[in-house]
Amino acid sequence: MTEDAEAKLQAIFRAALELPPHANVTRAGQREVASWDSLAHAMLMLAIESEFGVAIDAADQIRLTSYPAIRDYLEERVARGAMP
Amino acid sequence: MNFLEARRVLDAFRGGEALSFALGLSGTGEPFDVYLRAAAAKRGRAAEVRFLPFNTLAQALRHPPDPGVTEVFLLLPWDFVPEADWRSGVAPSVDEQRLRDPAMETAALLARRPAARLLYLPAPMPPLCSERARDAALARWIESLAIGLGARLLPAEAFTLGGYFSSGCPIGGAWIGRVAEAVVEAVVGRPGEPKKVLITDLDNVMWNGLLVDDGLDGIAFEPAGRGYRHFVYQSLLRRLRSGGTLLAAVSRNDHDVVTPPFRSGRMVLREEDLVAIIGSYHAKSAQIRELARQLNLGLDACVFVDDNPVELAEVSLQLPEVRCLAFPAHDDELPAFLDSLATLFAHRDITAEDRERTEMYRRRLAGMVPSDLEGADLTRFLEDLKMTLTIHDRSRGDWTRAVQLINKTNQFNLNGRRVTEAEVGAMLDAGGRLFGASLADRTGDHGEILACLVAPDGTMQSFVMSCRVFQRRVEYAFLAWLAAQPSPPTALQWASTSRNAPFQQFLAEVAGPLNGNGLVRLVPAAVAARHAQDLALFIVADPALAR
Repeated sequence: MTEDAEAKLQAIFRAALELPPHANVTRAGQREVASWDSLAHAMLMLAIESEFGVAIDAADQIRLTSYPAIRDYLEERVARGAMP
Repeated sequence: MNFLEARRVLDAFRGGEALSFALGLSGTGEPFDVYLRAAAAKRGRAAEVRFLPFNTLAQALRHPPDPGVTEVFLLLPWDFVPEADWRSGVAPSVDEQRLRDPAMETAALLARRPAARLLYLPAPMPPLCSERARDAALARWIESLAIGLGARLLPAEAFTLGGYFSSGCPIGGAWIGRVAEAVVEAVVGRPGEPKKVLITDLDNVMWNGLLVDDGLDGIAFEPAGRGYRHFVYQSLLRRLRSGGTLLAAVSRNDHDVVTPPFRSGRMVLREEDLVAIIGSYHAKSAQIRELARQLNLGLDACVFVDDNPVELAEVSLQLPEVRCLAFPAHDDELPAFLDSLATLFAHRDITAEDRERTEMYRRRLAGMVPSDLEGADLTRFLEDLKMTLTIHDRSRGDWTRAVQLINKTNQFNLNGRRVTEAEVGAMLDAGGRLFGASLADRTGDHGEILACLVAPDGTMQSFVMSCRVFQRRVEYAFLAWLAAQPSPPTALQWASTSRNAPFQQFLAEVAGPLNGNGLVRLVPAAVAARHAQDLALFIVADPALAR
């Protein structure tokens, strides 16, 4: 993942989960972040779709519950050529 | 509008008049919230949205509407035919004869809410009928039912099955911003009242190219190549005009410069198809306000089309009642754009008076004087553009683009003087300086848009800027930057031409009242101080790095 894409993903996390501007989100998971409820998760998935130009399947949306998982998922989409 | 842009808009929004409404859809509405508030904020309004709980739309329609609440319903096929809901799986069997009964009932309930704003998303449906052709016919029938109720049609691609399955939100991330804008537009607009006046920009909207620089033979508006998009646009305008829509043009040009294409006999539209062609260098918002006043029509009856986001922002900020539409930058965006126009100007019955309306108003407008009123303060908007001005020292190396700009620019041109590369080379060898400047912002890269040639004695001999970037304060920022450099220019070789009125306005502002052609003195320290705020709108790249 490029530095720009990683920075964008971190900005999405902070905004969607209402975290402080400089919070380290690279290890964030749904269990640890109190504001990461089901609504925030839906918003996070929509935000990622809108910013990265992808459509995320329901099964993936349900398992993507941490920053590393989402990062890996996006990297895998890039590797498959399934992301613009 | 993507997520991060929506957040930026909300962070910069300092509040405005409340825009309250209730949004009902067969799904989860809450993820819309940030996009709806941002779409409203872009119109200067503070959205207060109440979402109907998931799967309660059918029940809500059975209660009488609260006259104090503006309702918006974002309808899906399964609001009419419940068996079509993907979340219920594929129905084991259906009575095809009775599939349409609940749809008629829903339509009747919606028809009892004439004040409600309706949007219809023709999402794909699972197989229901014995033959797919019948499914397709059913889908078309539901769509026509929705349109018959006055619903605005949304693109089917906006639906996402992944999001609908996992969270109940039927709109995908790629579309949610645009759908939110359509919802807010539906709330702001008055239902059932078509617009009356379409006010359009000319360069790169009515035709491809810049008339004043490219000339009549250099612009394109015919059904070929780069003219196609503009030909189709003109064709729609012609149809709207025949249906009673009033057409007007507002352009940052002189009136006599912009009329020849309409008189050429080669364009779809002719001069008499427009109630007014206003050529003026004043703010477009002021021209539109004056036009509406003289037509005796409300600003909320007006739609403004331009390709320049700064012009659109200026009009939108100053005249929030005017519906502003961006002319599409790509062919693929044309169908949705034309659909928006056709919807805004929908007229069911065309009368003889409709057909004669343009001529009637042309008589009324004969002798209209362009307004000198001020435009909107665009500072906040310009700050949000995140503009980067890269200044190039073209005194050495490639000066091709700078010379090209000097020789093709007419409006923002210090004196209209054309130069050869040899002349420029001689001046630079003798100690002169040549600067170029490129502009980029969050809307894209505008390329090298400015050139400035300073003679060895410190007199500015050429100063030109592309009219594509008017209103961004680039010229003021550049001059402020230049005035703060070692050995800044202390005079400009000014000459009035038939087309450089925009430069004359600029020069009078930075150097005081002009007294004919010739040398105009400049006080660098005063210029740098007066326009420091303009310079602060830009990130200025180090010229040493930008050769």
